[in-house]
Amino acid sequence: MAALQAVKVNRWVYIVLVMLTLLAASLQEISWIATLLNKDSMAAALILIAGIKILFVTEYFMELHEAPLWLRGGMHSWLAILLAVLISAILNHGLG
Amino acid sequence: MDYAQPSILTTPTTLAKDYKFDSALFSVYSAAFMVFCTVLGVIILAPMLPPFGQASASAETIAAFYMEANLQKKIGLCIMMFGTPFLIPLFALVGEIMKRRMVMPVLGSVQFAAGLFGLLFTFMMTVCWGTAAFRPERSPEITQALHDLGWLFATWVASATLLQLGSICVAVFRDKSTAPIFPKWFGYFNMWMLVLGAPACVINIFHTGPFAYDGLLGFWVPYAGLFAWFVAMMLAVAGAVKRLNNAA
Amino acid sequence: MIFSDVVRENRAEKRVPVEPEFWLLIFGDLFVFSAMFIAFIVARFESEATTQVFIAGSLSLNQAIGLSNTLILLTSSLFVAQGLAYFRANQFRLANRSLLCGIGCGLSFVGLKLFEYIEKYDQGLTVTTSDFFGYYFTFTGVHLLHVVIGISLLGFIVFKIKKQQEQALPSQGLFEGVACYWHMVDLLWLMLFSLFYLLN
Repeated sequence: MAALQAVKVNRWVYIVLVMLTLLAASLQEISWIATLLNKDSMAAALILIAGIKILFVTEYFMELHEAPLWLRGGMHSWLAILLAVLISAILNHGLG
Repeated sequence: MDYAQPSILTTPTTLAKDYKFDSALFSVYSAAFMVFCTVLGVIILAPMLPPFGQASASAETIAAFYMEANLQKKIGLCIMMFGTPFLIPLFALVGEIMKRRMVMPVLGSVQFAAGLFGLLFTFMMTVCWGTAAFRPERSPEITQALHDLGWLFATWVASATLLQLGSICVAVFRDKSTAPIFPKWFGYFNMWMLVLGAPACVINIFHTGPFAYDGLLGFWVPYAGLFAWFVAMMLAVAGAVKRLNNAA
Repeated sequence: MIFSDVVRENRAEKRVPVEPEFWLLIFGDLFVFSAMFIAFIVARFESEATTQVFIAGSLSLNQAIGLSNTLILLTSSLFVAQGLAYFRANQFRLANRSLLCGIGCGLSFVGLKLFEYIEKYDQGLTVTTSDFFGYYFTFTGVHLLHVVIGISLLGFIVFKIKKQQEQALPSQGLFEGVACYWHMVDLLWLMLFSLFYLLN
């Protein structure tokens, strides 16, 4: 039944979230990535990973994947705008 | 005065008939007048709001602030002082709606009392600034102290308003009648205001940064919330009064 | 695949979790925290000097506790989501068990956070030490308050399910609302963790 299928889905989402968390926490330890990205790109990447994790939480835990467009769109827009502002601030060393 | 212990044979519509709310809209107009005086007084004439960088300013800077356009400040504060009590009818109306129509007498009293406290602190805020502006040539330390005192009375005392917001929230969500008098969005809106106003409780600790009384979370967010709340209150109460008069 | 099955089954009926007005509260809270996040980033990059202060501050934070707290909160979110799923399937005992695990995780978060605060205090770092720590203590403090409120709400749901059994169970809307609030708390910490602990 749909409710208990959700239990399985949530477990997979959780595993993805944990993997992303561990990836983010150890991103700077991975030497070849550290040489590839400079400090600012690294920071931007970390914020982006946080954004992806937030997307997963809203889509699956908050059950927005079955929500009407205004709600889902609103949440995605908020996330996109927040990430855009934060990442541009990081890459441009501050806003304007 | 016997408050409604709803008898089994009375319906909410009959209850509402016992109370005359037909002149109730004047409370909303009165609140609008208060908002007008506030905006004209402390935002336009005597620009006390926003307090750009004043939480960390030196005594001399504050003293200079009061010296310039001193008469304009006095007039602005005078208008603010005059308009402040006109918010009381709105709080009283909400209180009566909660006590009688929604049959939550204690919550209604809590709401009204907390609202009065908030207004009292608004009076104190205006008195402090008025005193500072009264003799701007005094020692800068004293002027700064009065100015800071005014700001602490303005923002730090948010907990009284938070209690008022909380009581309205509880009342709206506990209203299980078939025709709820306040719309659901009003309950959630008040809850949101609680979140916006909470950081205002720690502004006494910081001189700089977002939690100072001139910072993002110490001034901009709470006061944007406060004015949005005035508007929401007026709209929601006007709607409630219309519903009450239709039911009667 | 499991994802698409669930999605396809539910695509027919689009439903708003809890009720539309509830999302005013969620978006409102997200708005406030977004303002806080942006203020933090702007302050960080104000000058080269402030960036150094922020980097130093970030490095002095207890990374192990930060990571643990993130994983703990993610786990608690899982438990709460599972609890809601069990509640919908009328399996109340399992629902309560999941919720209690979620509450347990939440309490661990609070405990670790307080331990961290005390550790910082012992190191002489307080809220007025530097800009970074001003932001750190206040932002995580506000978040901690949200966590405590969330734990209380979850406890209330557990109480309602346990005590009342068949009569006057909590409505699904209330449960969903509390669960969404908890997920929001988790979501905010994900960003806080990245901003404070990882940017260095």
